[in-house]
Amino acid sequence: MTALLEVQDMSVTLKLAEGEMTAVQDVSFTVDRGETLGIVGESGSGKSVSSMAIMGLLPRGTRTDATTLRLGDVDLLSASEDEMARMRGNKIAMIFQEPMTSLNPVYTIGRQMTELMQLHKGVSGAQARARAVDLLEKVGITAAESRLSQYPHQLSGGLRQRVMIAMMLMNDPELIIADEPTTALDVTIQAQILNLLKDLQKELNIALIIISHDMGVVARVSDKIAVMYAGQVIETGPVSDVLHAPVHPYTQGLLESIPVPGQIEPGGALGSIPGLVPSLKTRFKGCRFANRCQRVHDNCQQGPVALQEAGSGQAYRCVLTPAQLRDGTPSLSARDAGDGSYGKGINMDASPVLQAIDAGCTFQVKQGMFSAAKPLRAVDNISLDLRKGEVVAVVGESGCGKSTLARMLLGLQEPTAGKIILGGQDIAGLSDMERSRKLQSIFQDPYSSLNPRRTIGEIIRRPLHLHGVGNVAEQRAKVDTIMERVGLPRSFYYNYPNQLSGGQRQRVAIARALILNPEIVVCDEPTSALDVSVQAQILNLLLELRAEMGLTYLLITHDMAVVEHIATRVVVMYLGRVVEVADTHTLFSNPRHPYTKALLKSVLTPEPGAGVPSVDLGTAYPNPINPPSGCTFHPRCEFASDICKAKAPVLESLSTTHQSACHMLEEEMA
Amino acid sequence: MQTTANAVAAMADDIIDLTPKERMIRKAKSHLGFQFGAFIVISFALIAIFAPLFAPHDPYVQDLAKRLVPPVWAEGGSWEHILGTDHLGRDYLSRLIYGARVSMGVGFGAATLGCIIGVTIGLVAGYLGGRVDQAASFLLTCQLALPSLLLAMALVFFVGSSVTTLIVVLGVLHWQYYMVVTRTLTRQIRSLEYVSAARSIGSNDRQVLFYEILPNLFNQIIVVFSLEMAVVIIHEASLSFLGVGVQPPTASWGLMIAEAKTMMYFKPYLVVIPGAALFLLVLAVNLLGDGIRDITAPESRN
Repeated sequence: MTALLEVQDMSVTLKLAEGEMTAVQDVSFTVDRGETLGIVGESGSGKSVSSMAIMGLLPRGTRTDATTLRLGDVDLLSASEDEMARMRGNKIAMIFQEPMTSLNPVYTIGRQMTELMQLHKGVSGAQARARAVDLLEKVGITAAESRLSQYPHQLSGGLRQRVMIAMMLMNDPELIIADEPTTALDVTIQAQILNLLKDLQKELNIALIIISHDMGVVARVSDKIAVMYAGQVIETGPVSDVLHAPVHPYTQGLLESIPVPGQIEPGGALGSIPGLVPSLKTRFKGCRFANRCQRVHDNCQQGPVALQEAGSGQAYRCVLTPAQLRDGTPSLSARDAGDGSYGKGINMDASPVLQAIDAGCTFQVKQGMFSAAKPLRAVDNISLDLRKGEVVAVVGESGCGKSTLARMLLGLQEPTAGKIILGGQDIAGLSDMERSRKLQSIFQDPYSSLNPRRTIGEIIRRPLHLHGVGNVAEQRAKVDTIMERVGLPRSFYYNYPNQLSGGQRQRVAIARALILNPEIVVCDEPTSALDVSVQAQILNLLLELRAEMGLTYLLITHDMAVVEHIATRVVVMYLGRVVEVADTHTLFSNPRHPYTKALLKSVLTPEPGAGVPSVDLGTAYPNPINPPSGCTFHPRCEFASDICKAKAPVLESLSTTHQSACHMLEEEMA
Repeated sequence: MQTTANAVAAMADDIIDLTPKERMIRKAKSHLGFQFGAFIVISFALIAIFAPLFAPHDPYVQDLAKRLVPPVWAEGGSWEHILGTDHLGRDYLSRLIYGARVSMGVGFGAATLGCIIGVTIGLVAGYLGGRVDQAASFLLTCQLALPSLLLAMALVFFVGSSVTTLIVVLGVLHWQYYMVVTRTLTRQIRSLEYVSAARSIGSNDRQVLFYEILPNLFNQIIVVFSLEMAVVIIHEASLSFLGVGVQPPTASWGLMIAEAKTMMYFKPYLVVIPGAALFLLVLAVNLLGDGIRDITAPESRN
């Protein structure tokens, strides 16, 4: 019996102004009904291009070659544009990353769902509507009938992704390609969507391809896995074999560079793969990973490397044998692996350097042109101390107010209640200059945090210029020193940000933040826009610099694995309030608030076949403009009782380092 | 060691170690559009400034005996009047050369004035938002609702017509597109992280506006400038045609087209020649604008 989808030696060539670029080379895989293939890789590895090639959605001027590219008994390579259009509606369905933009905002859900089916299957409107209602119920949407007349903007991100999935099922596809289906969703919603996809796939016997940069997602839902690097599949096989016994040095390094809760001692260095993902415009002679590989030797550049069998369906692309590759040589560079001593010897004293005292921030939001403005409490009465040398992490899902809190602490957003104290003085009374000498920030998106019109040198030198530190030659010398410290070559001085990769840009942002020798650095999601192997490099750099310069960090993030790795204390936020505060070890070993427990449960470590833990948080994240009464978490809490609906809990001390706000704990203590 | 050597070699391929100025010069040398645009604009400007040196005749002297002499390439043309003469027997080439003074002066002057007004209002409105933005948008709506040609006529009529008046009046009436473009982009850029980053390193509003935001609007402003310049030159022609612009016998390309309108079907060269000059100037300004954009933009366009 042959597989449903068969891809053999597929290459995709894009035409660029300066010549051709092979985005995907010699990719082969098969997927059968009821089977899940996970494709994992960093940005630019060619994983999305491969799926677009199967769908026939690549732009004109792109050439797809393959020895076999077949779905069922249809040859996708020779199919005409009309045939492909019919295939796309009926047999292959694709779920995109961004549920906000993949639904058309001007049509109702019902119209978008039924249109496709009426077009392809020629059924009546009523039949199509009945099926739409049926499927919406199947994907777990309540009051499905009434949803059909709603517009996409009326639904939350998680619901939209469910609608997207239901829509794709309308015509009974045989193959579903999900391209980063949960990347844009909150962690607590991610588990629900993954479980839903998995259940539906089993029930309807569909072939599923999941494409993701997240090893955790791929490991837990796939049967087979293909690891892509620079346009090639460099390792493939059954998911448990590949993840438990990776052969290729890249796979080994990738797995080691993921922070796994409970495995690394806090403050220790993460393993990281040195260097950068190569540009696909590079002319490769041999192995594409060679310049980052710790086992590189002369044979690597002797010509293209073919996939080698490693037994039980596992294959890899390397010149060495599996035995040689599994000899225990570390796959990470010595410098980047560190000695795990970053956290030690840092003097943490008890004096707070930055404090929020009953700070709150309320925005007035107008929903329509004529409706009265409503208050939106982005941050509600938060008190927080940041002591010298600490790394405090503020975690929570999008919309919990963590970014507003960060902006308030940075002095960029004036609190509407309470105050922020920096080094004993109210931050509102400090000038921009005084404030910025002590307090600096690193932003989330290295693509928008650097002015595209300024060179790297100008960007890093700017704070010195603004503060009038030294003359131009001295400033230039300082810039050179710090560029070297953060690992940027001097030659970047005259480059523009667009010539740098994401990780390099983030290094520039770090250099800019540190050049004034601040005491405190606020890091707003410093690694969430970066690739896994680069994320580890940046986290290590932050830890090293903290030890060297005696910095205090406030880390804003949603990634629990990163938190456990670098934070000393954790603050969990929900809808503008703090629900739990504890030192990192306590929080991870003994979480008390139901929301913290759910957050911890939703961390997906790369454990093959472990399945996705069901995080039962019921409804979606509430709209902050209409927060629920009492404890704002009660509609999603399985332990909620009457008191939770009536009265908001306050933060109770469970120990000197652990506080939580929950009525259940109050009862326990009483 | 080999890995580092490889990495360094790979980097050296990607990164050219040139200062921004050197890179700009290098790009300018290989940008044909920029070179052509700059050549035409600069030559036109030189011709306009040194008009008396270039003009073969006095542009105001009428010679009714030699009216409507065709250009040299047509039947009956002569080298004495290379581009022929107009309906009053004035040398057309000389008028074209002197006309460049008015057309280019008004075009650049009014477009620059409008640019300064529009960009200022747009920057302030977009950056501050709120009531300032509402007020600016109201002003824009009012301006768009008024028939600008009529308003220009009225203003010129009251103040009295001269080239300076034309520049001021047309400039004051042509700021809307700059404002709309600047305001929208400023609003977008204001929410980007590099503006937050600039504030967190201690920049004040003025530094954010001029160092972070304004340079990023340059591309779009140049495009609007080259379009507006063409519009302003045409508007000057309309005003002159209606009798409130440049007063005869002063020459301007717009006025030349206007005067020749009645003879368009019998002596087409009277319209075609100043029209071609206008076309060439507007084209050159557009090419120059695009060229400057390509050369100064950090991203390499292909």
